[in-house]
Amino acid sequence: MWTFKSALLADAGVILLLLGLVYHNYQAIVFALTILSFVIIVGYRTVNIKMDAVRTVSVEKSFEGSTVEVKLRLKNLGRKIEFLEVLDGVPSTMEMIAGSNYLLMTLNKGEQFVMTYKFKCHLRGHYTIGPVKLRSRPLFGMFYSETAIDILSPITVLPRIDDLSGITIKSKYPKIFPGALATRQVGSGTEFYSIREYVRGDELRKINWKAYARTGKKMVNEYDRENVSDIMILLDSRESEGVGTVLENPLTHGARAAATLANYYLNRRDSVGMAIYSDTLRIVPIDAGGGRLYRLLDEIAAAEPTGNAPLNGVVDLLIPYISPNATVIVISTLNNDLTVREALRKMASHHFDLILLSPSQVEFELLSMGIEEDELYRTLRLERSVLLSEVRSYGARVVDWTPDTPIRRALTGLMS
Amino acid sequence: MRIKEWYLEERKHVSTRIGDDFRGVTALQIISTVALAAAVFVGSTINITAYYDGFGPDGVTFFLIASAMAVFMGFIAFLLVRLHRGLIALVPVMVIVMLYMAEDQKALFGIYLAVTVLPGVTGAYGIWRRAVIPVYIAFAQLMASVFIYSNPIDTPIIEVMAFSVLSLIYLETGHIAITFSRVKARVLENQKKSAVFTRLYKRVIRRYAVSASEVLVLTGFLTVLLLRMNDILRNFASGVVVHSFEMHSFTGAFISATIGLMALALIRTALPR
Repeated sequence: MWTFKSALLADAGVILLLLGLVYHNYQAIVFALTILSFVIIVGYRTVNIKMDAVRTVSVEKSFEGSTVEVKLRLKNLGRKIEFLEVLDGVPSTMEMIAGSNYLLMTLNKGEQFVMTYKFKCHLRGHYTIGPVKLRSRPLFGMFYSETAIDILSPITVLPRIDDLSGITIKSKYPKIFPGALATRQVGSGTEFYSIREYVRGDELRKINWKAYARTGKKMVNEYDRENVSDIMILLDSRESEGVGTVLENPLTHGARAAATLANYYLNRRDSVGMAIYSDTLRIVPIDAGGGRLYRLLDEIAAAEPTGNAPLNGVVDLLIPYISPNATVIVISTLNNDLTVREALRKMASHHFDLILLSPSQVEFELLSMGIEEDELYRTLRLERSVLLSEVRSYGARVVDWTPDTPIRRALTGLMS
Repeated sequence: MRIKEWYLEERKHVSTRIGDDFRGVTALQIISTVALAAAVFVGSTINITAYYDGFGPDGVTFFLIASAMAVFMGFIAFLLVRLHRGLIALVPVMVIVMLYMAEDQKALFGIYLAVTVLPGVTGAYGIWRRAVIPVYIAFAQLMASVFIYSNPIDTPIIEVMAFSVLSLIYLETGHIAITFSRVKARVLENQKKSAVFTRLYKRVIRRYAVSASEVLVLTGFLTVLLLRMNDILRNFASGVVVHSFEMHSFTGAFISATIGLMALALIRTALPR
């Protein structure tokens, strides 16, 4: 391919040649022939790229904030390339921390080169590394040839999971199966509840020998009943959830909260399901077991702020998937949706234990725009406050979540 | 970020001092400047030789006048560019005006010489301020300056060839110095993370130096070959062709050289890369 420079030089050469002929100027012709010879010789040195590339990625799945190392092995199968530009496609949200995905090099025939770089993943999502774009720009930047090697390496960045140890979020309606949730009722749990006199049939291991020594009566320990719950997490992924910066917006925070909660409940041996709605509704039915967490995190990673599905319609479709008395956690700003009240009222009427975790869109907008709060924002905040109070009146537990509040502290409000 | 801000930011990474930690670019700038000065000197010599049969007493006088005028015009060009970068466009206008004046006043040979020296000022400004446009304007001025030479046929081919090749060396090294200085900003940023970049970059610069020499030598040979095309053809032709007007005329030499160039271009298109 010709570049602007080569075209300019060739034009100049031809014009000078013709002028030399017209004016019978020997020097002009010599100069013109030198320029044109130069263009032709450089043209002869232009090569097409024949390259083999193999890429290895240190991990295929990682969490937000983790580092990924990429090694790209290039082998020149064609002629010597004097000026080779290599650009390995890396998504723009990744931060390069070592090496570079762009290199300028000279590669002899059959020569190999390993390009190594590391980047940090800041944002969850399904990404692809590649293709490898190669441009041969021989000397003087006069001609070039380009090619792309379609080797693609998928990489999934899962949302960050925060530590919630020490926090207990109780369900209003636990199931009768044994689990990790202490219910303040006598049962077969692990946490001490009370002490009573021994009756025939009690297990010997439950006898409290110290109390027996003190009172002379056989006493046995009683323990809390610990149960499991069904949890459905409903994550709002509509377009309006993307307000703010790429890294700081309600959806990013919501996705981290959803991942943290899913991990928390699964560790408690609860059954967890997930529904993510944007222009479509993706449902992962309520279930428990190994590998469940990654299934849920995969779904969260794919959430993009798009579409504008009404919550009421989503709830209508979702209700058959939620078992009676389950805990439903809605993570949404509730913004830009006129059906919110009806939808939440409908869920409350089905006796779900409703929890609303609502990132404040007003605060995200103020943060991203870096502007002073004015009358408009005060009005919006007031409107939001009224809406959240209304949701509380349906019996829901509501967390009004501001961008500067860590998830752990925000969820502490659900402990009561 | 606005283009101007980006450009200024880019410039911060570029040092024009000799002996900085990135000598490749500075070396290219020096080579380019030397080539430019040599081209201008050869051009002036051709003129002086054509008019005064070498550096006689008159030739020296006029050469000094020319140099003084070139410095004066360079100073004006510098002031104009200081006022606004876009005023560099006035430099070719100055050349045209001077050529016009020169047509009327042949006696002021110093102006002729100044026109040949002026590209030196424009080009040096372009090389050291890392501005591509002045570099190309200077090259255009060098091309234009061949039209003010007189007595063209008598000029030895070696001098004109030297002038052409030196002009090309100036253009290419000047251009590549600017290109590399821009790449350098990225390389310097990257080399904080890995030494690989610096090694690769140095290898590219070395490769450039070797290949540039090869290409320029080949260019010289090919040009001579094209100019001597008629002489070569005469050895192979016979009869009427040998004694034809085309084989001995200026136009004939031009036609043969053009056909030779076209043939080379066609072969290049047909050959696999």
